[in-house]
Amino acid sequence: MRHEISPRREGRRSARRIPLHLGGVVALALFLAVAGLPASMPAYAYTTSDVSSKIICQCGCGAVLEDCPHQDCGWGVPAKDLISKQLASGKTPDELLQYYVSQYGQKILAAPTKEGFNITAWVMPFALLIAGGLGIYYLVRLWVQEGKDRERRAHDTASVLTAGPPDDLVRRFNDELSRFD
Amino acid sequence: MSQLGYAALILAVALSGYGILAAVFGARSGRREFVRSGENAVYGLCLVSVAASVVLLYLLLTRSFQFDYVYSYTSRELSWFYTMSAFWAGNAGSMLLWVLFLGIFGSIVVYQNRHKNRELMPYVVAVILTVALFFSILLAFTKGSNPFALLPDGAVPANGKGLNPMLKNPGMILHPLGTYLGYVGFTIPFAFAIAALVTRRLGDFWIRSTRRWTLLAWLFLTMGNIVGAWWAYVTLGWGGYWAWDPVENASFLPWLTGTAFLHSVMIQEKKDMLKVWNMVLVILTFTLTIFGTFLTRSGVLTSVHSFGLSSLGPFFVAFIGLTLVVSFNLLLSRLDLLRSRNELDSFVSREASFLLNNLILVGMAFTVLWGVLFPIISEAVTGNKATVGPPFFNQVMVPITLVFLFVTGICPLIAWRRATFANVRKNFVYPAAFALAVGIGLFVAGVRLNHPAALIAFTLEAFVLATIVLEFARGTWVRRQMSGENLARAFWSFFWHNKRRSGGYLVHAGVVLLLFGVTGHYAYKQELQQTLVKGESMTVGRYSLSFDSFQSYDTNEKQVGTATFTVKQDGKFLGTLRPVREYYFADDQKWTRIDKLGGLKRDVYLALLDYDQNTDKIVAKLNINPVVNWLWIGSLLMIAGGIVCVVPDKREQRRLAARYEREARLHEA
Repeated sequence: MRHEISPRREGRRSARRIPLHLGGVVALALFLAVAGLPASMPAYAYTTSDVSSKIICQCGCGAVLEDCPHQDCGWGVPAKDLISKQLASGKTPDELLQYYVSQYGQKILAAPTKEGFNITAWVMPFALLIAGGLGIYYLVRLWVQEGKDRERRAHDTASVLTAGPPDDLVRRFNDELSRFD
Repeated sequence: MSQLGYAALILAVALSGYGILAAVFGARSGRREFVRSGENAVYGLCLVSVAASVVLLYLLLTRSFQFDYVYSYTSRELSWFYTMSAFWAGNAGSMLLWVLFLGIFGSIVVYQNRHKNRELMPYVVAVILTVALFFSILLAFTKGSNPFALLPDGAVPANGKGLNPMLKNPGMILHPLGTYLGYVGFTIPFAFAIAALVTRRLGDFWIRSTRRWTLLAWLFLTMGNIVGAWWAYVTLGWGGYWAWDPVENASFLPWLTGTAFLHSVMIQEKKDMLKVWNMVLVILTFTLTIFGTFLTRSGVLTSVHSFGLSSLGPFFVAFIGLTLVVSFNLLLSRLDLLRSRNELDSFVSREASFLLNNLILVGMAFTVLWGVLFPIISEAVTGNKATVGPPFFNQVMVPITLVFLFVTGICPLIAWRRATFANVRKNFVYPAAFALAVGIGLFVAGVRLNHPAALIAFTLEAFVLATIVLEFARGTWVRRQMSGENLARAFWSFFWHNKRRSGGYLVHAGVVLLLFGVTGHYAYKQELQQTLVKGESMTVGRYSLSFDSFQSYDTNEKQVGTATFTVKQDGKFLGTLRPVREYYFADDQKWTRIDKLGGLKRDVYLALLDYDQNTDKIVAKLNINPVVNWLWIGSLLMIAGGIVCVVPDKREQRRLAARYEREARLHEA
């Protein structure tokens, strides 16, 4: 026997289901945000790497200073020395980064700042993923519904074919047949 | 000889142009002889591109320095082995390589389809030849792109400039070849997709016909990327393998969309869904291969890989724009025919999980593309050019990769249509328990707050690996129950009779091991740069390296300095390292040949950065790279898995042949 779901109950079910799935999307967003935290939180004395991994070498190689492939780099080697000496003299990485930005502009930073238009660099990938996730959620929901509708239609047709005509029609048919007798 | 080469290029232009017209005219007018003639033009293109390549190789090997290309990339001292790689060291050679591969691939496609796919073939030929025409025109008619151009004023130098020292590595033979084979390979599924759109034959037939081509292209691109990473690791001397350089990103982009395409076509094959999406993916993948060539060859973005600046940029931009406009216009005009019967039984189904997989892969591709283009965008919007380097990519890609890992684990094991609770429990309880145990174990062992992403990554890697092992174990057990074979035989039968599935699992296992290597290296690498004199040592963690001796000698081409170090771990002798520093006289360039002691646990990686011959004082950089070799093991497993997937499956071939026959009969009727 087919279990009928009233439109009201169906609506209630959907209402319960949507927050559950939306909850999944929110959880995913939170996970992305948490996992995106910097991989290491420095709790140690500053090293050259704290600066050289955040600025681009100006020799033209395009790599971060720390990874410049030109080991006798005319720009990189003196810069690493300077960073090392400045850190030893008590300067912080932030101060050194500000110094380099004042000298070369923001293009020296290996990543866009998180202010102004540059915020879009950081936000867009996650915004697209979340929008895509929501899009897929609604698409799958629509397709699941279409699948259910089709199943229901197929079931209705099968019921009519197997159950035969309704009783009142059979009675009427028999009455009319008996009148011919 | 050079005239022959240039004539071959002109012929390539003529044949490509003629072939396009003949094939399309033949298809439109129903005149088969023109279609055949167009197909013959592809064979002709193959011949002339081989001829041009042979001529270029001859000029390179005979040191014909009157030619600009030979002068720029070879020298008398260059070995014949690296002279071969000078073929694709510059713009002209790499574009000739494109045309050569396209000619060869196109000819194979024409031959394979001489009795089938006849309705599609004229347009397949037209697309292949359009791409060939673009590159041939650049080669023959744009300034600085002709590999057979002479030096100005008839100069004949006694020697050439020689090859960039960075390129003198076996990896530089394989990396460009693999990458270009991958790029060109994706032209074939793209050509079939466009042909399917034009002819309105939009079932899954074009996908099945090009499945092996897609896999091959993916396999070559995978190999190209991996060899490139290995080359960077052993050559550049900075201890890493991937710097999110624009050119590295350029070859990663089509790999990502190509991987998404490989997965989503399965849905179309099984459920006749996602037809539009698959078209979008194949168009994007092909366009990104052209974009990758553009980035490498235009010099539009600064990169250690941009070996030559050129004025090719506008041509590539125009071709990419044209490809996108024509392809998407065609796609939009066929939307009504591409409507699928989109029905799913459940949220928890293989189909839905594949959609998630596609979202993540395309999201990764968007992130990388966004990072590559953001400097240009920010300059256009704000007037200031922002730089997008490794810190950005690491921070944004790490969380997305973690989700990708999770999806890699669950995707293949969820049942088609609707996963029941029993199905989920059967497939995931043990792997989840194993992963949890690994995660807790690592947490207790100290892998925690300083690297939360690493802890999550290791846990997820354990989960995915466990799902794959369980799947193989279960399949082997079932096979053994059914056939009574011994364990090894049952495993092999299960593996070999399900090549597509087994190959896929191998690739997934490879991805997991690769990411294990990346995670360990990224989170726990240690490095030290130090100036040393003989007898001094440098120490990082448990490793101590003492500088024993230094030797240097000169050749005609370069000065070579070698330092010898004794390596000890916890005070016990581990081995000897001999990093080399080379100074090339002609280029006035210094280069490093690193040395390392490898192992499954770590690499002790040493680069000699500088030396003073007079005082024997040296500068050395030591990297302790934990588990980095798992990256290469995983890569090999990915390649092995890809090869297993490509190996012809007789059952599938029979099925396909039957379908060809059925379709042909229907078509005739």
